[in-house]
Amino acid sequence: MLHLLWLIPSLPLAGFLVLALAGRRLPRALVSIVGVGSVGLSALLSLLIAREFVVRAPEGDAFVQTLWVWMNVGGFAPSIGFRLDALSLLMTLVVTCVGFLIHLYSTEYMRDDEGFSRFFAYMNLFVAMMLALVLADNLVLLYLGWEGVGLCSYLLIGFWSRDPANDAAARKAFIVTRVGDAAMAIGLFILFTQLGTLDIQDLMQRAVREWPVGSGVAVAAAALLLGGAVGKSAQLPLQTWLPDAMAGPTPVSALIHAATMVTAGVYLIARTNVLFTLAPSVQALVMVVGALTLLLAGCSALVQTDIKRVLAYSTISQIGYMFLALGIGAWQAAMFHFMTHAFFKALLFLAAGAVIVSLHHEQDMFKMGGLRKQLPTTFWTFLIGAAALSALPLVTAGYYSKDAILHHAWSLGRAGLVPWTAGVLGAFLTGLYTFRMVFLVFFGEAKTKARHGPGFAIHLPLVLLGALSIFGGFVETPESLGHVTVFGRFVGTILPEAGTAHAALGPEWLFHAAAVGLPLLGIALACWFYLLRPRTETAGLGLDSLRRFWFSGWGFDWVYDLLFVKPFVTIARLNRSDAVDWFYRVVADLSVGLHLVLRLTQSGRLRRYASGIALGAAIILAIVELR
Amino acid sequence: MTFSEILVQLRGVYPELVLSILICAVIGLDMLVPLRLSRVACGLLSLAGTSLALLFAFVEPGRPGMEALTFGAAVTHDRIAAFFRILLLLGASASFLFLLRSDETVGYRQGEYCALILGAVLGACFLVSSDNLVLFVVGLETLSLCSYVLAGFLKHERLSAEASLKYVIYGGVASGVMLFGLSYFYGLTGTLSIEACARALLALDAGGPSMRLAAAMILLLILAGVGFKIAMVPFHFWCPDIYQGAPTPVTAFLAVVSKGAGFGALLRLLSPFFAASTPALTTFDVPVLFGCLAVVTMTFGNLVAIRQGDVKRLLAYSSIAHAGYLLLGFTVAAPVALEAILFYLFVYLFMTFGAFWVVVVLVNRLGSSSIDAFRGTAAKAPFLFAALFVCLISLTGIPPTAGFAGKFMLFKLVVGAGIDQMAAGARPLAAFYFFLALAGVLNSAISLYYYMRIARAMVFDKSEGETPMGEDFFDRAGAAVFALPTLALLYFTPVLDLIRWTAR
Repeated sequence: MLHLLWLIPSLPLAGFLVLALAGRRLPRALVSIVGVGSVGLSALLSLLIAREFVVRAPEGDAFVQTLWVWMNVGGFAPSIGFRLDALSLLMTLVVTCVGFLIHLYSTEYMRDDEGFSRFFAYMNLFVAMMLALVLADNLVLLYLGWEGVGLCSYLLIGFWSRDPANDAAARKAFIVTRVGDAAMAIGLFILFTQLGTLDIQDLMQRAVREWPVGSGVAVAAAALLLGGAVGKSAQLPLQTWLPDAMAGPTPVSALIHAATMVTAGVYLIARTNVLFTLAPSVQALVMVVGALTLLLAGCSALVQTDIKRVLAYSTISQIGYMFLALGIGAWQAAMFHFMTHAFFKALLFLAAGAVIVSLHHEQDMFKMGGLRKQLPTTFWTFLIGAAALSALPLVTAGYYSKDAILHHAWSLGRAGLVPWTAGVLGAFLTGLYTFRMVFLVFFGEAKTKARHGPGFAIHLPLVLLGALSIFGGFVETPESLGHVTVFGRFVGTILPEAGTAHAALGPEWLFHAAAVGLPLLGIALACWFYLLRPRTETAGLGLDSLRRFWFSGWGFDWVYDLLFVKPFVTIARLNRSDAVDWFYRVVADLSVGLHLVLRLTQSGRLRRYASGIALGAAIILAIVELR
Repeated sequence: MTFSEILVQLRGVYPELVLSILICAVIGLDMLVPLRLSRVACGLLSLAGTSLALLFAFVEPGRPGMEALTFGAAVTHDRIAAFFRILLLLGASASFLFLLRSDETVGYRQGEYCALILGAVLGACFLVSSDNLVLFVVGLETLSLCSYVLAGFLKHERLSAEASLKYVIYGGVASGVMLFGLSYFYGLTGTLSIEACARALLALDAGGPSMRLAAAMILLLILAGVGFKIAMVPFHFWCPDIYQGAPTPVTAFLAVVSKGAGFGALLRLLSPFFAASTPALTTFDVPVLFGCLAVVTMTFGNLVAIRQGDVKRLLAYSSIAHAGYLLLGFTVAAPVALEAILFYLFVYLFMTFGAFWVVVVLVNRLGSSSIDAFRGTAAKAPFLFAALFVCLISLTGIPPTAGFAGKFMLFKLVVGAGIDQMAAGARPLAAFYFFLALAGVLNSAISLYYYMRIARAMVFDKSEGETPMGEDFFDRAGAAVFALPTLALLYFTPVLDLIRWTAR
């Protein structure tokens, strides 16, 4: 069974090829079958392989399949090879299963779109590239997947390219992540030149052998990889692209900009955790980035009016949690939160999409309201997702994963104070903004009439993801709540377990009180402001300027515009008659000149040609002898 | 050698044997079929036969006891022979595909054409597997004579006839020069064995100033003969006129098979110098000589190509330039250099044939090979254009094509040699190697211009009036046969495996 691993990424790729080459000529039903079926088969295969992997774990808890060696040029011979271990299996399962549900959802969501087959072609390509990313056993293939998903992200954000704003958003996403990718590429160069391989396992072993903890090269390499991760995962300071990326169709936001691609940075750091352990300063930086991001994005989410932008900021904030977890060495907790987040955030996006589509593409929450009765299934599933996002205790997956992160920080003692504080503050903000959204959209008086209830293809993914958002958390519970460790034991084969040698920050009850209480407080406040006393935003609080500041995402766009975009545009304008061009123009003119001279030798006269042999031979001999 | 011994020895040359039988068979067949079926019948028979020979060329080198089957030290079965046989037979098979597609030779009996191609390849196969200078010359001349006739195959067309005549005279001069050098060699060393050639040259080299001059002369005069085959400056003058005048399938044959055989001959003579154990010649600085020739050749080819109006002529200059890139591989005497050269030749086969295939189809439809006639054809034959485009960027050496990998290997080889020389303290030589790499890169940049001129004309320029352009299944299939490997060889490494396999 395991040797069918190569089919998992190949099936969506085949789907892409079929749709890209023949999609326009196929009827919609067939496009749906190819588009959804390829990912569905891939998901089925992943489940079967996962079963096999768990029942009969391969030697060394990893299965490596090398398909062929790629571009064997001068000692540089990366293979097209896949590595299946607990980490990549987890990612594969999430990507294919959640991906399948979102594809299924899209068949209804995109039903009337003229670019139906193009959409599914891009989506299939995305899934294939994402799978290449997570299954790659070397960093070259990983980078291929990394850039591939970036390309798909670009194509899908700008999917409705008639609106120039969508194009601009796509460009922004592409260029901002490119900054991170450039850093990552340089990081790969450093790793290759210093360690002589890009095979991930070899690389980690050699790094441990050759680099002492905290050595300059290790720090540089880890920091550059972090640059790539920060760009892809929309963390400070490269987070600005994600809110704008909501210009894409909602299933795209759910799949790419919530569940899978944006967590690639988390995956990269978890995958190369050895490297980050060798560079403690960079690992601390990961924590700081995560903590800052989760707070800043949480504040911004509080004041958004567009439902998708709330979810976008919330995604940034939740990935901040994952970075925080990585930064304090809670590798397993980070991946646990990745998994539950994929479930509930995909759910929230899909449910939001159902709302949006039934309100004729209305995204402003203040124009919604009272949808509870009109869209009951959507409401209940959205509520489940919201509960999971705000970590409602005991019953939601989000609670267990967030609890794992916070508990790890708590048990670190004084070192955990900053991450823990940021974490619980963020949890408070999460509860507040999430239920602000719930109350604005589903409660209160109905402001618009919903068109019609969504159909089966939308409801089924919602219900399944709702179930996952609840039950997906029970695979790993804290000691006080049954102490299930299925997840920990599963990923423990590849990710180091969190050590708990330190003295905790305080008594256990205080931890639980804060972890449970603060999100509840947030929800209660949301309830007060938006349900019991519905008023306009922050009225009477005198915080209008703060609201605007947060609304614009802390002014990052403005600063970047001033620091980078404007100067660049100015320089480009000044240098319109490019100075560098002169050099090349001279080269071109010189070439033409030489061409005119040299072509004279090609006169067509045989006599000259024959004498050319003698003359040439004589000249060569002269050079050789008179040298 | 008794008759039964000869029979035993024949087992060493199965591919050549198949070709010889095929020549007779195809001429015989041509007498039986009517003229209108001549092309299909002869083409398919030759294609099938060549495929059989190719199969033997694949299977044979692995057989035990092959080393002994040398016809009394006349042929050898080393890696160069094994590799080049496969390359040449592949090229020959492709040439028959070209014959089946091209309308240029219609109206003539095709049995002759097939027999001439087969004869040329037969000569080329013996050339690259010869271990004796007599067989070497016979092989080279067989290849040349068949090529002369092929170039003039359209005997009623002025350009074709002129090309043939020029080719004969020029080739005659070149052969004469080479034979002159060989006679020196035989006179001074008394041996005809190619295997002993390197040792003999080294002995001459160490034998005082006059002997050194003689060694230099010998090498140079032989180089003139082989340089003519590979179209190396200053022995390249024939190339554009012949490429333009000959029928397009013949042009493709000359650009790939004849040139490939030339490189095989060059490697056959020089391969001892690629072994680490062979000391360098003192008088004759082989790396520097080949480096200079490489730079001059590629620069000449590229510069003269940039404003050519005829695609066949343009590709002729391009093929001169590619000879220059390949010569870079001769500047480093190391086994890895051999790998780079062989890989590049293999890639060159696919991308050149791919480009010529599209040209053949275009010439079929448009009746002209001038770039102006190609205007606006991309929209009417998108698949062919895509294939041509892939081949053109591969010829330029841009990823994601195999041409990139080939150039990368050659340039990396040269840069690596430069770094080694730097480490060894030989700064001028190191600088020379870096200069070679730089020249290669700059030349590639220049070449992009003229390759893209073809693409631009096909895509952006409007055609005047209606062009009778289109593409059918055979057009597309052929284009795919050549363009897909051009893409895929970067991602898969069968060629390197093949090269290493022939080396076992």
